[in-house]
Amino acid sequence: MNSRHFLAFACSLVGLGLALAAGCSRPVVAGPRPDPAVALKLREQLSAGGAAAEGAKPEDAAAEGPVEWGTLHGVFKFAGQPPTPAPIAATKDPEVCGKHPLVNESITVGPGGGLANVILFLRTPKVPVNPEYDKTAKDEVLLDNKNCRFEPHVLAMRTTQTLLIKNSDPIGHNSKLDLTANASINALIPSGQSAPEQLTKEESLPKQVGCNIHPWMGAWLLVRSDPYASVSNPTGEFKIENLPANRPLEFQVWQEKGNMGGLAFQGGKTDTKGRFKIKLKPGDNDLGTIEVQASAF
Amino acid sequence: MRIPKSAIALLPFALASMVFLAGCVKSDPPRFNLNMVEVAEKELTLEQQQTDADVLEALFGTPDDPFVLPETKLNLDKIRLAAGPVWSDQHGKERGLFRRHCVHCHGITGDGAGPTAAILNPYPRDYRQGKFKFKSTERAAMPTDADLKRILHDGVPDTAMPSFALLPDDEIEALVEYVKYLSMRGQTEIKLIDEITQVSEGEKLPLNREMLVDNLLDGAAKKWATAADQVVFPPEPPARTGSALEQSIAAGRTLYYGTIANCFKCHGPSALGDGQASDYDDWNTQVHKLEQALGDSDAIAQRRATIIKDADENAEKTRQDKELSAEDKETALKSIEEQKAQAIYALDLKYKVIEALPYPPRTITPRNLRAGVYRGGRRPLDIFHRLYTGINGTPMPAVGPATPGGKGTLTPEQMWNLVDYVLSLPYEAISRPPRPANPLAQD
Repeated sequence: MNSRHFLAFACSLVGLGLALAAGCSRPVVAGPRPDPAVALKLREQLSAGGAAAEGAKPEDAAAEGPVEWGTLHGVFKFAGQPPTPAPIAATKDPEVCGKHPLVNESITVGPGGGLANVILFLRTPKVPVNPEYDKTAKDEVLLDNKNCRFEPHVLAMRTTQTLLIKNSDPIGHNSKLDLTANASINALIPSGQSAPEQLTKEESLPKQVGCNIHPWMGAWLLVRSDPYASVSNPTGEFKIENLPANRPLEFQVWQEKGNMGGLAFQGGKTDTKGRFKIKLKPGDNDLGTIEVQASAF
Repeated sequence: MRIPKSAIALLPFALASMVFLAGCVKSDPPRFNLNMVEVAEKELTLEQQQTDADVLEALFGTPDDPFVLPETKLNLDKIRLAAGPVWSDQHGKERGLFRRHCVHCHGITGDGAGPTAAILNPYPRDYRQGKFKFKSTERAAMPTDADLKRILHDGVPDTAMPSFALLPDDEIEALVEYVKYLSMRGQTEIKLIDEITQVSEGEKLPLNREMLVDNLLDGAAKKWATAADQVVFPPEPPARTGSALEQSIAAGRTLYYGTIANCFKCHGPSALGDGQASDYDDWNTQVHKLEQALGDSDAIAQRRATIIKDADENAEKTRQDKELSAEDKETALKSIEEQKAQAIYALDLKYKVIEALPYPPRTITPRNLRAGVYRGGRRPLDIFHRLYTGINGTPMPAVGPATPGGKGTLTPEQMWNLVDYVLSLPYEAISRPPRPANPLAQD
């Protein structure tokens, strides 16, 4: 092969390379292709108004008969040496916020290793609610902007209750609630004022609350249509009273940073999503001490 | 016959041409992508992703063959005019309008990830969350048709969004309908993914009318259908000429620097938009958070090792368990193995999805109020809307009431004062520094 031929050969090799490379740009991750046959069948069923047979019917928790009530309680513990919360530098309004020691609150371990701010809530829909809860059904639930942080850091409320966002600081705050089922809110709360918010729809998981003026501020809000949710206190204790007993219930354990899957409690273990099913007996039901390993975070 | 050497040398070139041509002749029709950020974040299994894809195709069809149920209240004829490949019929009527005018930025799925997205700032709008910034309705409400038409007609100043004022009205209307279609599809998908993750272990999402139409589709459809009822009508602005205007501007200035409206916190003491530079909008936040949660390659490797170690330990415990029957043991071991595989798959998918995104998340810049360029329009009414409801999807909070008829942070009059001040800012001395004296000028 003489040099001219070699040049032509080399050039065309480069061309081949380019052609191949053109087809191999950044990969597109688009998920699986829809199956047209399945989609068409589904569409026909939906258009006809008929119910597709697929999928299991959820177990009916609202079974007949007089309801007996049970209490569920336990303690969340951080297993091992808890991490030291990282301090936060108050870069905005330092003359006010700099006075308060601010730390990262994503893992809050109290005295004795109790893990605070873990929510345990009922997932089973349409359960009977104990009339005791009627007293608090219309209550105001306070979320305070105080000392350049949200107080409380994690809270649960019911759709019938009113969320009162308050600003106890001498400076202005805004509260941005990124909700899914409810309309998102971003309200400006001047110093000393408060804004009542109605959240009428149930959220499937706790949603984040933030302040854009002070980016370190954060809180989590769970909105449920029933009153069966409990946020663990500084010693890690939680308690839900007056739950319907003798019927299958499903609960979820949630913590803002950690994976609450595979937690062992007295009588069972949470699944990969931190959920567990249980049938309560009337009266006291103790889940015992639930240890959360450091590897969960 | 003797084949000349040069012909052999050109053989790879011929092959290359064939590869090129093959790419031009036969290609799959374009498809809608799944919302992979959402899929990765919620850790959907492959089977669940398939359900997501199938349900969406059943409800909305494909880019070439769109479909809508009557519940959406969308006009399928208009959508068809905008959908599909680009061509024109024998009367010269343009078809495939979305792919002719929009797709290179907004992407075939309306996810704002078209080929040009990576080189644009700001990034093109992702319609799928149903969040639109520049509109006349309440904060979380959808824009009205008139709002979307206005954006198409005027474009968005200071962004890559051009004006389509030269398009005939019916084409603009078709595009508006198609944007609503893509947005509704995206909103339905996000809700569907949430419902899929809400299903208890061992159960399946019921694919019936109650779930898919009454629960998923209707929610998004109603939001769009009621948009026109949620328009914010401000009270008439007070008379604003001469000294009245000056007073209003002065009052607006006091509010701007005051602790009630707090405008200067983000827009800066100089109003140059330099007060807050580290915040993200809702679209970028989601990716940013996913990235943060995933960590660097070391963190990913460590997490993967933890998953394997935990599963192996768990399996070992199960094997040692003397109370379990051989059959139960096998089931338990199988489930541990499946969970391990899914956990690793979910971890890898997050990494892959972030890698494949055409652009990195970017922080949002508060508007420079001295530039005199207003993305949502420069009429006093436009500025009023920005203040009253804030800007949906961004850190800009509302100074109006959260619910219509409620009490807002500022009174409408105070809002008009702020409008006057904002509109006066480009003409303030600091916005127009004095020119150096002309050395040639002689006195």
